[in-house]
Amino acid sequence: MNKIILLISIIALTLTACKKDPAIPIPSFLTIHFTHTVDGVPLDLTTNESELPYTNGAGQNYNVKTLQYLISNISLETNGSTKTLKDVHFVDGEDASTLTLDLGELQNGTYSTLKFNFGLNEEMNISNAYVNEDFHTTMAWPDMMGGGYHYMILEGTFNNETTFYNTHLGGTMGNDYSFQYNEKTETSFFIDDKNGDIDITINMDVNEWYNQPNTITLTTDGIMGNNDMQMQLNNNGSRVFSNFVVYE
Amino acid sequence: MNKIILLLFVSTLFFACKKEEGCTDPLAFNYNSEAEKEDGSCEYPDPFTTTAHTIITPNGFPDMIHPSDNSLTEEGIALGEYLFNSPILSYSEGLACTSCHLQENGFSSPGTFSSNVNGVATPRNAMALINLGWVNDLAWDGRSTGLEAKVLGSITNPFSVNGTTDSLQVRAEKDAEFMALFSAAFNNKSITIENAAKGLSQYIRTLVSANSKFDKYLKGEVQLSASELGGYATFNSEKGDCFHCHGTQQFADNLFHNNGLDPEPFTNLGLGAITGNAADYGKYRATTLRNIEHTAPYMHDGRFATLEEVVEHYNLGGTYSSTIDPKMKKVGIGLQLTNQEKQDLVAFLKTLTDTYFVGSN
Repeated sequence: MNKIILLISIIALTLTACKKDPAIPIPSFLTIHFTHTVDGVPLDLTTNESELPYTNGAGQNYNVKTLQYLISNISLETNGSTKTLKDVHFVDGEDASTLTLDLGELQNGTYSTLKFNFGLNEEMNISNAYVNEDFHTTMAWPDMMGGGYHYMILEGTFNNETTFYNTHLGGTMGNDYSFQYNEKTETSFFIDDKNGDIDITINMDVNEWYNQPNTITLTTDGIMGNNDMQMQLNNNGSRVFSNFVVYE
Repeated sequence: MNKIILLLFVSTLFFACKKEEGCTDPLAFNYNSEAEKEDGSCEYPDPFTTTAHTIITPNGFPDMIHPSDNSLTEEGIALGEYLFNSPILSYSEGLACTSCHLQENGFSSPGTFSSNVNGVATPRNAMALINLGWVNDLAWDGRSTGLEAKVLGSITNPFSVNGTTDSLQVRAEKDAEFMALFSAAFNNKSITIENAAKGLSQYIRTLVSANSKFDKYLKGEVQLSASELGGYATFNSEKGDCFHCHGTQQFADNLFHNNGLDPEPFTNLGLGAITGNAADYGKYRATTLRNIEHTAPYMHDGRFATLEEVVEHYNLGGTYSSTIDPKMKKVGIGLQLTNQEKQDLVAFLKTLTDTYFVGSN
């Protein structure tokens, strides 16, 4: 009898010990990384003035010394709804802290489309609207040229080491030249309680600003007051960005 | 007899056991460390209080930078103003802040360089102290992060004011006004050069200039002349291209640029001497243009005596070097401004004078 009781006790204990706890949800944290290339090669902002490693569609050799830009209304589409991730983000190619955007925990769901605006749309592009942001003084666009903020400051030298170009994009004279990036993520991704963290990389290929459909010729003249040039660059913007997703 | 002995014994026991009464609170004025029983006699000092001071943020300015351990108070500002005008901080009592930072010059110096406490010329032009409450990386070369650090650096620098806590404490004992102001600002904290720097920093934060003719124009209170408006347009065009480094209502980005002053090799490395990065050689902070009419001479070494000379420097496009700012895109070409455009630019720059700030009215 005692043996039976002992055997039952051991079996009961073993079963209890092996019983799994209810599944603990694994949170998934989303991080967006910003990278920059020129014709697929990582952009180097530290080249010497005399080095002109890149060639645009007009056949001009150039380098890049400054790359700063704003993107806004960053969002993901999930199950037919839109999840806004951040209103405005400033990217400075020389400031590593701006190249990573931690966006916290992502709720369960299937995500398939990444959206953001390059620059600020008319509603957001107001002078002094972001007066307490770090980019305020760097990106401010004079009221006399429409006000608001630069969408992008892309600068360097071309043809030789002493000839500078300033590709400054913005809302010339109050026109809205921002545009929306609205693309399927390279692979739609599914978040449930078992997934780990998600990394999305948004890449800008700088040369695409100058190549298609409009071939842009770099000059020493500023383009902030040039509506035609702003429109051409706006059109070229559709090929500039791409994204890919990585599960960690 | 035995009864008497017994009575004495009991009495002794009674008095031996009686606890001394008094104030037992260490925070009280009359704290009695011998007292074992509180008798309700504690007397307390009035609680130390200061009066918070608020600076109204000018239109288009960000929130002012305030360190958490040095909030603005009326008392701290009063102490700072006293120190700003007194030589009490300097090693030989020969210099006050006002020796190099005169109000009529926008709290800068009219000299190319200033003399330090030993009578030796400083290596840089004394900077204007205008709206520094909004600047984080200070000095021409960004050597100080935060106003308190900059002020402390200046007043303790052996090649400048050369102040020390010891010398301040010795003089403080003979200076009743200082002692009263210090006590009001910092209660019973130690008289140290660091606390003096905090008071000075508070005062410098109050040196706010945002009521120029141009500000009044933006508010619709005055009109600008045709020449001034012409200069305003050139300033904000890519032809003049002043706004990239001197934009917004602050008229400064307070960042570091090489604006084409010198060829290489640089004799003065600017920001590069601080960071050790060759890419920073020849870069200096772009300071505010507010009150620029009164802050001559110009640039970190005071090389330009007039605004006309400054405008001509930019009109010629500057001197190429490997760290020149890409926004100096007309280097070697020049802006090609007409004489009228140059005159207009100077006229516009003079609308940034805040007459009250420089003590003209």
